[in-house]
Amino acid sequence: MNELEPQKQNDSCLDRGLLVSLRDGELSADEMERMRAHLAVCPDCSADERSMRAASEEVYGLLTLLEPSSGEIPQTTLALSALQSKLAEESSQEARQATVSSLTEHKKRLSGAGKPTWRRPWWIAIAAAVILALVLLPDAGVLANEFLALFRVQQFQPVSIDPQSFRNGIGEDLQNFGTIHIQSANLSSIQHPTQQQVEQYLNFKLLLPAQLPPGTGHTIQFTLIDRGNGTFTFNAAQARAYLAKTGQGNIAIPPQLDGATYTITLAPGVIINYGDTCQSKAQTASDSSSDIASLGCTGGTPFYIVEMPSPVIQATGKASLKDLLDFVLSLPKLSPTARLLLQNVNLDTGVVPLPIPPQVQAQQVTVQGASGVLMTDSSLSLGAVVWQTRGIIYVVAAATSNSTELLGSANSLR
Amino acid sequence: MKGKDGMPSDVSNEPLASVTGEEPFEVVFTRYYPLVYRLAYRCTGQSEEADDIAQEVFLRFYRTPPRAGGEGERRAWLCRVATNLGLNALRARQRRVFHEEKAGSVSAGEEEAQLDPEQQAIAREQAALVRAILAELPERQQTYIILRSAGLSYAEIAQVTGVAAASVGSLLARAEREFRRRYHERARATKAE
Repeated sequence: MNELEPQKQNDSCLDRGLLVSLRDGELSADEMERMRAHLAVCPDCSADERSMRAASEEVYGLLTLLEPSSGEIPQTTLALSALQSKLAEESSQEARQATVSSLTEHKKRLSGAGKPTWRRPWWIAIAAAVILALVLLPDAGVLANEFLALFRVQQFQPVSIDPQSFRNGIGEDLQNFGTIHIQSANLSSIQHPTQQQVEQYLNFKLLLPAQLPPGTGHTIQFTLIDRGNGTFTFNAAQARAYLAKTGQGNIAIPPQLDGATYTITLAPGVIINYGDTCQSKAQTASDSSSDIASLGCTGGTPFYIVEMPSPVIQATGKASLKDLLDFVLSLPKLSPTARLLLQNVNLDTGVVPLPIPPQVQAQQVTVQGASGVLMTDSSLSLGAVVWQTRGIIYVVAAATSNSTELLGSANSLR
Repeated sequence: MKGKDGMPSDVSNEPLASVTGEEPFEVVFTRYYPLVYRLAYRCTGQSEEADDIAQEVFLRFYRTPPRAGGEGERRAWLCRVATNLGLNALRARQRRVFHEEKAGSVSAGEEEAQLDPEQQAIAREQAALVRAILAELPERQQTYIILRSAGLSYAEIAQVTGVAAASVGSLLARAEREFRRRYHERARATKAE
């Protein structure tokens, strides 16, 4: 029978839909058995089936022509970076800046207008160092052409640094070897999120303190922190020019580094703010009124908790993160602060250095059974505890430098 | 990648049930970008356009993610949007070519040459012909063929298109037959010229 003609079937014969389903293995074992039994005894259906298979071969042979060649498929990581750039263009502020500046702004409010501006010294440093240090962390197996590594921060290590030196350190050094983009993107707006909504959005259970520092209000407000994304792409020509210019022209650049891209992606997190009263006007930490002071909680000792998943790191190209770290450390003119921080990246245990400026006292403490870092600044009456557990980074911060109070609250998270 | 019966497949064999719940956007992107891109490319045949469509698909996913559902729903959503956007682009292009040909401004072949200098290759011409035929089919049939040629199972096609899984075989059979009929018609017409 001509396959192109309309089907002629009697009651017992198989229609084309069934034959196609049989071809595609989409029937149950029983149905297949019944059909095969029928095909074995029905010459018409058997001929139909052969005709259908020949026709299918022709049709899907033609459709194969529509497939892209492997060379035409863009690298997923580059496509992701492109999309994140688009999103970042639409975003008015960087989430991480918002997170960092928010604490600064709040402190400014607490300090009064007449006092000198507190220039977000160590919070900026911590956030930047975590991002930059993580970009340089290695991971086994990244030598594949395209690789996605899920890296979880295991522990933080305080490292004393000179803030000025830090600001002119790692970041600028890396920029001499390629391009760095740190971007953020707005979350879909969630008005006045409840704990349940936040947990649903973030997909992890929030821990809340059973114990608050004395004087802290009991009203809670949740503010989502946007996604963030940092990309560093190594450019050998740029690196060579910089090395020549700085008298380091004899340093060899591993060929696999050229074009290698390192991406750190920060999943959304949440800031939990406590006060006597909280207004319900905040949406996300990257709204135009981005500082925590404007989020609406007033009265009582300011108290914040930040909870966010460990970043995801991607390395593409032939170069691993370790290749990049080794190369940077091989530079004789690397700034002492950058060298100190990078040397404190522990390749085996996932330790991330936290740069600590002189005015901040830092010590390692045990929080929630994990190793954390307690930082206090007595001149500003500020303190914070940072730790990681089960893939989530926690920061508990308050307008107090009383370490017992801070640790008590941090350990009471449930 | 080849699927059942040697058919092309962009779909991994990873069981859907192994991934549940909300995942970071980046993870979803990394997992599905190749599939979404390939679906778009099948429709447009233009690398840049396919990438633009894939980006648009994920942009929509990011801005308005599908309501909470399983991994299957998520994949179905991405496939549906990718196929819709891809086929829209294909149909728009075919319409443009039709009007330009009618106006005598440019032939389909010339347009291809403008788009891609290597289109002289026979395979390229054949692909353009296949796309042209695809664009002529009823919209639903275009979707069934694109999804099946990308290796989606009947259950997945049903999920993407909203039909019953039991009907997919018949619908696909009709679409394939129509596609083949039109292809042979074209071939006969070309021969006659």
